[in-house]
Amino acid sequence: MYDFKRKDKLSFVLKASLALLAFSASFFSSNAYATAAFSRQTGESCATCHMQGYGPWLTEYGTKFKLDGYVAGDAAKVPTLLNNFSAEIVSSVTNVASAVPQGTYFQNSKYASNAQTNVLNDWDAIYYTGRVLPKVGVYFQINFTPQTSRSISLSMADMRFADHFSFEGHNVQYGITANNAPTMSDTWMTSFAWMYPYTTSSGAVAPNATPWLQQLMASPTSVGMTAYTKIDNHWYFEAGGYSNQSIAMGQGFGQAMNLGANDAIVGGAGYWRVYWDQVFGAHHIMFGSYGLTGNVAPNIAGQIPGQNYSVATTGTSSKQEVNLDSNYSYMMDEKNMFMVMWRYTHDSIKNAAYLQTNNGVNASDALNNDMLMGMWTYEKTYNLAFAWNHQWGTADMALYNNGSPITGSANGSPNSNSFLVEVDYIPFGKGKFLTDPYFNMRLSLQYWAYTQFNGATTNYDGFGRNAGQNNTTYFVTNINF
Amino acid sequence: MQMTPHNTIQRTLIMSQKLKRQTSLWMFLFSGIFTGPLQADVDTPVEDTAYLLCGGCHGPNNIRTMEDMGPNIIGQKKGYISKQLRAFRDGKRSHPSMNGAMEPYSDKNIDDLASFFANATVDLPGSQSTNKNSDPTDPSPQKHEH
Repeated sequence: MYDFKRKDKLSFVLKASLALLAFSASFFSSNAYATAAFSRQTGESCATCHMQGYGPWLTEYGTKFKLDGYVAGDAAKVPTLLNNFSAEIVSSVTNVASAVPQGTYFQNSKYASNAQTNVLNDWDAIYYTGRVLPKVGVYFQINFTPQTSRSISLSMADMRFADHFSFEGHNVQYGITANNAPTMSDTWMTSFAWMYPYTTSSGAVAPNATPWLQQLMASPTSVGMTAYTKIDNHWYFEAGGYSNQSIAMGQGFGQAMNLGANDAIVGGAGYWRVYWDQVFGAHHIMFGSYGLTGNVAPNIAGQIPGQNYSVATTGTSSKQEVNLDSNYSYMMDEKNMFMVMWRYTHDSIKNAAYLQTNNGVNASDALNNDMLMGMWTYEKTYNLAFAWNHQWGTADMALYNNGSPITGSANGSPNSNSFLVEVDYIPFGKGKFLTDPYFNMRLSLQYWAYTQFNGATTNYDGFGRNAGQNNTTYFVTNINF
Repeated sequence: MQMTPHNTIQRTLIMSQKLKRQTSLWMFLFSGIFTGPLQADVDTPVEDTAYLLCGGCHGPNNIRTMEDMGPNIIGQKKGYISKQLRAFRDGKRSHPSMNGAMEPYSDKNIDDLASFFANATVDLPGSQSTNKNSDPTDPSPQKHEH
C-alpha cells in the first residue's frame, strides 16, 4: 500500500480541496444559463437545445449538438473534465387505482408498501456529459434507485466521435458512437431511448409484453457501435451492431443480467436507422424507420439465461423488430408550439425447437405496438399532452403469463390499450431567472388509464384484477443541477 | 448600435444579466482556480466555433432554416457583427442564449468571428451564395464550406 508522507498528504488534501472547490464552482458559475453540463459548456440556456427548457425534446440546435458529438461551446468555467458533471433527482407521488400488494414492484421488504399511494424517490442520477476531446463527446448517466430496486447502474452511455465535411456543395455530418442500447444514439422522441412520457412511475404496474428495443432500453444489457451520417441536414442514415453484455460486464454496470429481464442478444444483432426531416417555415416534419434483427435467448418465465440453460443446448430464437415513426411540429408563434408524433412497432420471433418442446412457447410470435401523441407547449413552460398506446399480438402463455396476480395474464395475451394525459410545468431553463444557473426543474402530473391490460379488460390475471385497477396518477418532480 | 431599454421587462432582463455577470466575477475571484484571466483568447479555431456553436441557431452553414432560428449572419458587415457580439458579451444587449455563448470570448475572438462571417460565402443546394460585404483587405477566409 502506498505510504503517504506528511508532504504528500498535504499535497493530496490541497489538490482534493482545489478539485472540490472547482467542482463546486462548476455548479455555481453564474453566467451559464442553466445547470446541466451541456448548458455550462455552451453558455446557453436549456431551452436553446430543448423545446421545453428541459429534455428530451430537441430543437434543431439540440439535434445538431448531439450529432456533432456534444462538443460545441467554450463557456465552461472549469476544465471540461470537471464541468461535465451534473446530477438529477426524481421524486414522485404515485396513486394506483387499486393497491399493489407488497413485493409486486418493491424488491425488498424494508420499503415495501401495500398502500395505493406511495411517495418515492424514483431514481437519482449522476451525469458525465460533454466534450472530452475536440471531436469526441460523451453522455453517461449513472442511476441510483434507492427504493424500488436498490441498485446503482449505468443507465445511459453514449460515446461519440463526430466531424463534418462538404462534398460538391453537400453538407455531410458523420460520426461513430459506442453505446449501451439501440436508439440511445437517436434524437427523436419516437425512439425508445427518448420516448414520451419522459418519466413513468416506478410504483405503477406495466403490461408484461414490451417491444424488444423498449426492453433493451429499460434494462440496458446490450452494448454496440454504430456509424451515422446526416446529409444536408435532411437525410440521416445509421447502421451498426449490438451484442449482449457478458454477465460480468453487465453486473459491473449494475444490470441484473441473470434475471432474464430481456430477450438477450446471442452473438450480434444488426441495427439500422434512417429518417428524412425537413423544415417548411414554421413547420418541421420527419418520417423514419429503425429496427434490430438477430438471434436471442428469449426471456421466458422461470428461465435464467446463462444459468438455468445453455444456448448451446437450447438453440436460439431469431427475432426482428421494425419501427416506423413520424414527427410533426408547428411553431405557431413565439409562444405556442404544437407537436404530433406517431410510432408503429412490429416484433416477430421464431422460437427455437427446444423452447417449443420444453417451455411450450409458440413456434412463432408477433407483437405490435402503436403510439400516437399530441402536445401543446406554451412559452416553453407549460405543456399539455395526450397520448394513446395500443399493443396487440400473438397470445403465448409461456411468454406473457407468469401465473401471478396483477402481473399475470390469464389468456397469455400481450394485448393492452391505454390513454395518457400529462401536464408539465418547466419554470426555469430559459435564461430569465437568477436560479437558472443553479438548477432546472420540471413538475409533471400524469394520468394513465387502461382499458385493456395483459389481454383483457376484466379479470385479466385470473385473480379478479381489472385493467382499470391499474390506472395510475403520478406527480413527479425532476430536478437537474 | 446600442440597444436602449424601452420597457420594464427588458430593463429587468438587462439588470439580471449585469447581476449575473457581477455574481460570476465574484465567484471567479472567490474560486480563483483554473479560470485564468477573464476573456483570455479562446483557442477553438474560428471555423469550428462558427460551425458548431453559431451554426446551431443560425442554421447549417449559418443560413437560417427555421422561422424561430437566429438571423442570417453570413455576409453581415464585420463592424456590425463585432459590435453586437460585444454587446451580448458585455450584457448591454439581452438574449438568453447569446449572452452566455459570447461570455468567454475575447475582443480578438469576436473580431475573428466577425471577419469570418463577413467574408465567408456558402453554397447550399437551393441557396444562393452570399457575400456582399467581403473586405478584400481582410485576411479571413474568402470562402468556407462545411
